[in-house]
Amino acid sequence: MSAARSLWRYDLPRQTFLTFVAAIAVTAALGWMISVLDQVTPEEIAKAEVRGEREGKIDGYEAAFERGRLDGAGRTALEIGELLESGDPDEGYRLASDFAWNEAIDIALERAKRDKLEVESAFEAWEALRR
Amino acid sequence: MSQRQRLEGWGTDDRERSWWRRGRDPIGRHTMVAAVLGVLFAALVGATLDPFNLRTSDDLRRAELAAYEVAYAAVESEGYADGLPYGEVQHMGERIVTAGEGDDAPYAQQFRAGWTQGWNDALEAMRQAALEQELPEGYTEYRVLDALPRR
Repeated sequence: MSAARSLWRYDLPRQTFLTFVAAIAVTAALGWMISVLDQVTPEEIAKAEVRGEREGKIDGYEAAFERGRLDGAGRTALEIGELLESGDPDEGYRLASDFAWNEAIDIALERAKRDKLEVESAFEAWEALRR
Repeated sequence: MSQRQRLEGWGTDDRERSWWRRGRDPIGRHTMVAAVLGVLFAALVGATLDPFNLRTSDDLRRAELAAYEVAYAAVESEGYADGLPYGEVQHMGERIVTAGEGDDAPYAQQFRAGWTQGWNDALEAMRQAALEQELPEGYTEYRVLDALPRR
């Protein structure tokens, strides 16, 4: 402590220390100013979270769906011979019918939404038809 | 200046003193080093400790990314569970309907029947739904349904 006090008596150590403190103060002030100017409100944070959640849901579902689709195709490729030989025909009918039914609705909805100009629509009713 | 005079002055010039005994030097090496160290110190503290703790646009990105990752992981099992049967039947359709595998097999025959019937029934059901909504003639829904071929 006494060494520091004796150093403080000299010009250059005092000046060096003060410069160090001044540099910290100026940098902190600039940082604070930049942070304040760049500040966002809690509402904006909440909106960003909602946006992230929505995109995460879409991307996560699509990626997982695609993975499942490929696995399903691979499984069928292995089992199709056995299925054709001894599979339940009624089950085959039901599977194909449900798939084609949903496929028709998906295609129609996609095209109609793309071309839609009118206000009224049957989209909700069509979506409710999905099996 | 003679050799003697130079030797007499030795140790009295700023250069020959201990650094802390030297006089004020606002643009000297020590001041510059102190200024740079001060800036670096403040920047380091700001970057690691975040003393102001203000929400900035960086936090906006971080919040969005965090929510994205949580939602992404949450729907993965659901997406996979939906995609698996879809892929199975889609591949069956490619093999049985498109490639015509298992012509005589009852399973393949029924599958093809369902493939056709399901599609055509869906088109009809959608038209019925549009009519029940009392959509006027010429609406997009009707145009789309008319353009889709029946199987």
